Amino acid sequence: MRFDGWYIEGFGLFRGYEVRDLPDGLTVLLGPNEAGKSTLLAFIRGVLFGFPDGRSAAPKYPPLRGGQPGGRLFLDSEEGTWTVERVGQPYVRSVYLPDGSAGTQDDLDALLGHADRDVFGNIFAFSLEELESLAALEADSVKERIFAGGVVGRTGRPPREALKTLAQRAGTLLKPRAAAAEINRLNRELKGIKTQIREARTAAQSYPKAVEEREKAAKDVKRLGDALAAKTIELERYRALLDLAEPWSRRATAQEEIQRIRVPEGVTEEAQDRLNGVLLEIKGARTRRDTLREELRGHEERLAKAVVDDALLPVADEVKTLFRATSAYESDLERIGSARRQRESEDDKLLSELERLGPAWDRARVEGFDVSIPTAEEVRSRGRSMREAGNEVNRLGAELERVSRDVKETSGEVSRLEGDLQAVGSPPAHEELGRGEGALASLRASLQDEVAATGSVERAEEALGNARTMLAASVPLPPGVTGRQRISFALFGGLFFLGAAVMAFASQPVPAVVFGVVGALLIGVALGNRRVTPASGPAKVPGIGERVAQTERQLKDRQARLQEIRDAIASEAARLELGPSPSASEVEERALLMARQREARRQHESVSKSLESQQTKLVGLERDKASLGGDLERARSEAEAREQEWVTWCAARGVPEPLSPEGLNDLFTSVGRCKESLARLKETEGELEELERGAADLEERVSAVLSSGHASSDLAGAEMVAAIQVLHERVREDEETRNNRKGIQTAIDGTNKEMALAQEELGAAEERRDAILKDCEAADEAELKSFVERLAHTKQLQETVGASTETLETRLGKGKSADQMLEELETGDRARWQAEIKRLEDEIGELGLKRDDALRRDQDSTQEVTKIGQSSDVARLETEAEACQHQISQRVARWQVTSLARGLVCETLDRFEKKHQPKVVARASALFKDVTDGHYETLAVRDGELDVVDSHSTRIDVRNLSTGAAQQLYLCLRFGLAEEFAARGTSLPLIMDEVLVNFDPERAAGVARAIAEVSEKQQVLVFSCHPETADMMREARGDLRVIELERFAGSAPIEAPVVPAPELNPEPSPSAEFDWGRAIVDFLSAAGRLCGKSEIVAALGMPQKEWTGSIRALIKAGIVMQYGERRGAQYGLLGG
Amino acid sequence: MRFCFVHAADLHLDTPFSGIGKVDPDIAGALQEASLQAFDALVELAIARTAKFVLFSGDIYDGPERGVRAQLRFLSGLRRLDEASIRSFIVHGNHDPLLTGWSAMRGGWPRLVTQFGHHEVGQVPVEQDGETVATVCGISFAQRNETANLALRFDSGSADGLRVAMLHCNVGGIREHDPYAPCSLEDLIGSGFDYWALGHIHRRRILREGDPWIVYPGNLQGRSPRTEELGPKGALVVEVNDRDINPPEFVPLDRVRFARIDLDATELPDLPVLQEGLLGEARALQVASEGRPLLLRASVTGRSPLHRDLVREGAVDGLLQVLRDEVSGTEPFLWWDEVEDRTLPERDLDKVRKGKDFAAELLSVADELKGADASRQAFAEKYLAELPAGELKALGVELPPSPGPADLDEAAVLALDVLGGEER
Repeated sequence: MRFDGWYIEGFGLFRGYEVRDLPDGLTVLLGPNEAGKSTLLAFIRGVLFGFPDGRSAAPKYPPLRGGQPGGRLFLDSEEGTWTVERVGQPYVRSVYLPDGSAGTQDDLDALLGHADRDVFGNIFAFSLEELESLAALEADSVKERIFAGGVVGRTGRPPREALKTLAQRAGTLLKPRAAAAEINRLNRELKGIKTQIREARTAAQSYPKAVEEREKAAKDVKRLGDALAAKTIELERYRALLDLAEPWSRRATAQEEIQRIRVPEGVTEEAQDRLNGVLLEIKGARTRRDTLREELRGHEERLAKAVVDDALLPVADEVKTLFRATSAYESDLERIGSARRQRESEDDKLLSELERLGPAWDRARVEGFDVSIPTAEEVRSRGRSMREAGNEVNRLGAELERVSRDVKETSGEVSRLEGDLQAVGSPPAHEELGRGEGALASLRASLQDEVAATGSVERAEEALGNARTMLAASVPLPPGVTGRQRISFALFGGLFFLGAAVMAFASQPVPAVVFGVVGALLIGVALGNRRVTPASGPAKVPGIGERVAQTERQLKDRQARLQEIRDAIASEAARLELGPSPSASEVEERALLMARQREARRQHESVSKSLESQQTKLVGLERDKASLGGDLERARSEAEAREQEWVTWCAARGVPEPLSPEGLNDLFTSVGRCKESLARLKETEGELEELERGAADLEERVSAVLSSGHASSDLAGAEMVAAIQVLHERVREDEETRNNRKGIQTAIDGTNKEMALAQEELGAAEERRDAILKDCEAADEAELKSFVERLAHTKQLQETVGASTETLETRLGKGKSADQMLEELETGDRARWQAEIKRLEDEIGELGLKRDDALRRDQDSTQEVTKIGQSSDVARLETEAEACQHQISQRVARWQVTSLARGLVCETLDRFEKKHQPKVVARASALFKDVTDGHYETLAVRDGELDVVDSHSTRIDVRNLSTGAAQQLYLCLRFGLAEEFAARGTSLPLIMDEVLVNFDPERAAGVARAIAEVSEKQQVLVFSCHPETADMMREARGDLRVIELERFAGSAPIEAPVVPAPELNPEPSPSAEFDWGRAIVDFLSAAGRLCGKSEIVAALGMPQKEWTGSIRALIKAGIVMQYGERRGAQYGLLGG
Repeated sequence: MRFCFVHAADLHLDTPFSGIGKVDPDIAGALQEASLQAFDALVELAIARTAKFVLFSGDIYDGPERGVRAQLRFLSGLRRLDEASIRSFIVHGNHDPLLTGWSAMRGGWPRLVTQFGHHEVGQVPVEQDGETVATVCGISFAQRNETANLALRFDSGSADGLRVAMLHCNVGGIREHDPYAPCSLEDLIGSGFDYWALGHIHRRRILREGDPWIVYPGNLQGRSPRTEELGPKGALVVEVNDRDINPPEFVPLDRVRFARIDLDATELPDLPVLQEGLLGEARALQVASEGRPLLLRASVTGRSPLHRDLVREGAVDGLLQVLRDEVSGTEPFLWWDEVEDRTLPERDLDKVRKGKDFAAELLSVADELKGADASRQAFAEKYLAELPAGELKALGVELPPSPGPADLDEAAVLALDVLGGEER
């Protein structure tokens, strides 16, 4: 693959910058600093492998002069020219194959021999800076880059880096003496678990021993427990002797005293209690008897004071009844008074209503008069019927009056219109007016045509005169076409003819004709138009005669046309009764007259139409008037008939005099009120009669009672009520007195009975007292008390004996052992007993300790047996061990694969280096020897380290070389690698940016020769700012191409003003004869302002190489002045 | 006369689960109890079915250092069977040979338990209503490495009732298991027995269906993610009518089940889809396990775009953790033991081989090593020398075998991944 060229749309300073047709061999891009060489290198790398994105720290080169970011490279292969494009923001990559179809990334990869960005950057396209950075690297890294990194191919990571990664991965899994490595860590963990498992298993195997220990301990516990129990029993026996000595002594003393005390046999504790009880009964009976005597006396006194009235007893019930009726009697008296007032009020209202109805009305007539709802409804129906008849009469009368008024108005309008019609007269008809207007329009058009035709004839006559004059003079054409242009016209004409032939051949008639005509014209111009030179005479213009004849024909035609128009004018004027050549004023007067006639005709027709309408309306109104008169008469008759029927109906109903229906309704209302008043009066009178009858009955009964009760009987009203209340109070008090007497008598009877009982109880109690004293052989109550006290003491002593006996029996029980204990107690040898107790306590303490120890052993061994029996330690630990083993197995497998992968990369790298390194080193050695003019003989690789061997066979470490020599060495290594790549299918152009600057002239020349040699096989582009570099390259290889770059190159200035370019002679010749200085002056003159170089060069299509010489000559000649420095310099005509 | 018996083998009571990574403490507890609970379930099954007897065909325990807990639990179960008047017959296998190890049961077996010795084949009649309905014969391993053909010692003779033979052995040299007490199918067929109650093979197999029945019931509880340990595990209930045997009924008794998911990721676009796919498979397995806890191991295969994602360091562990989080706290529990990345890169290695670059050279080196055993051995020794194989083996770690061609392929893929900048 090689570069054919590039087109930069916008990238850094570049805009619209194109280079094509780069040679296969060597190209030098020569430009000063800031001409864009590094930018161009970045552009080429970016288009091939992508531009750095926003995250990258690499320079971005935005298009400073505008334009779409990016551009395209043109790459040549055996198949043809490829185009690789990256444009837009973000960049979009497109690949176009030589046949124009779109390609893929794979196609591009194949074209680039699968080289990636790093390979291209490391081996093929590099700058001085990158060369220096390479030299500064450690030897191993250099080796990596040169021998390994450079040959990675499609893989993305250098093998040594991959080796590091794999070693690191393997190291995290397994590494000798690395505690953190996973397998090492798990190994330790597993060992710990295994130790625990051994311990757990040992513990499990001790199970039988633990069971045996438990059984032995259980036996000891039982044996010692038995011994302890026996000693404890003996100890308890002696403790009991000590404890029982006191109760034993107490019982003996009590038994002796009991023997000494004497008490009669009849004396018991109950005898004293019974005597006390009887004495209390005697005292109580006496007290009760005295109290009852007092009560009896009080009863007899109260009975004597209670006196009654026997006369009130027979009327007591009647008095109570009448007393209860007095409150109703009082309210009836009040109601009688108010009923009487109401009766008088209603009677007054009735009289007033009757008076309002008239003298003929009384109670009887009111009651007999019918004011029912059906009758009232009939009255309203008849009233409605009579109102409707009257309304109809009124409506028809008003309608008849309105129609009569319309008849009168319409008659007046008819008379007015008839007068108007007569005043308008009889204007011409429409048809006649139309014909006149048509003739007038035609006449106007003809008059305008006449003016135009007259002008045309006059211009034709003038043209004819001119043509005839030219024909007579044969005037030459103005100059314009140079000889060079004529050749161009001829060439283009030929091309167009050729195009016409192609079109015709392609059955495209229209384009063929167009091409033919254009071709003919161009050839015509080329042949018939010549530059005026002093040596040549005037040239005749061909075709003037034909033009005169043609003009004459046109004149005749126009004159004929003018005559036709004038004939038409005469005809139209005659129709309008005008002369054959009417003037414009005549025509306009005629038009005005016709307009007035048209208006009169319109008015006549309008009035006639209105008159006809009014006449028709008048006939209709007359007909309506007659009809309404008949209807009005019939309505009046109907109204009268209904009034007569009403009079008859009133008479039949007894209406005092004929009333209107509304009046009769009012009468109905008044009679109704009379009826209601009469009803209320009757109701009040009935109620009053009933009340007065009830009051009289009550007064009669009261009078009877009072007379029998020793009181006045002629009382009524409030006095009668007061008298009955007094009598009622006396009856109530008499009843109370009678009830009191009954109660007192009952109490006297009861008290007498109780007194008899109390006397009986007293006698019986005294008898029981005497019997008790006799039974106890006591003379009196005091002796009996003494006997009882003796008895109580004896009882206490017996209790003491009982309690002591119980204590002894409780502690000793019964049987032989108890008897022995009692015998021992009789001895009372307490000292011996205490000595025995001390001895036994010591023995029991010792036995207790032994038994506790046995119990502890029993408990421990039982726990141990249970623990071992239930333990899941072995299972748990083995599960953990299994998990750990599994994890180790997994990691070992992973480590094994990783280590094998590392081994594969190592072996491959070793083989790769051995396979490719000798060629690369051999080629680099040869080049380095040439470059150093034999100072360094060869290169040698030892243990992966690169050395150089000088002419004295001394091996020198690369790191000990000077900067320049090291750079020369690395250049040679790159050339060797590039050739190795090419041999393996990755053949790419070499691009070097300013890589010779650190070399002395001699070594630089040597390097130039090496580059020239390389360029015989591979395309080489050298970027430099030093013209001498180009010279050296030219010296090394004569057929190189040098492309010069300007500082701040690119094409258009930033935001260049848009100024139309002045018309210059087109297509300036590239020949040396062409005067570019004159062209620049013409351009500046036409522009009339200061212009920049880029603008001038672009507008003139001026080669860059012509600019410097031309502009300097103009400045030197004082024609053009430069304003400002080179960057942004502006040029203008001196004095302009 | 109708009756039934239960046939179980390879109980491996209270033994560790092997081949799985670390699990949560709660789950570890459940795993420790699983084999014992499965045995409890076996006892319940025999009682519920009113079995006439229960056959334990070897490997009751996992090793001579049998745990006390396992022995006591076993004894407890036998006592329960005894109380239910169910006879138990025991032969010992290679894991619990008769003469090694120790016994915590010095008090002897319950009345209805028969432990067959190792000198000669024992013979015990089983009676019902005064009539001998079956005769059970068996012999135990004396030592672990029992290489004699014990089957040849069996002679049904004139035994009454159903003739049952119990033996822990490897019939026909089944590869996955050690060749202890080897014998052939023919040795068993011509022996005159009606039912060979075998043990030793953990996958349930019926080698012959009738005349005689030759049956491996499989182990009672799966113990590892290995193939033969996957799926339902339990015992067989055998219905008998005089000497007619119905096809044995398998009753799953395992308390934790192992399952494996193999997922082809060729068409899967990204990790979330892979995750969802794995979870979907797990849900289906949960349904099939009838409420049992599950231990899952997943293997992702295929030439897939996911290879680039999965080879990144920590990606598989991250996926495993996400899967565990997704099912965390579910009852019964579901534990993702491991996710294996067996995917291959999308790139065509044959195409890479045709190139001239480093990758092509690397594949060439790998291919050469694959084809030459001696070179491969030397290559492995050179690059695997750091492995403390002896120490690890002494600790019981199962080490991968010497690298074979497949390992070279895997290593080459890894090398290309790392060279290509794809993390692993």
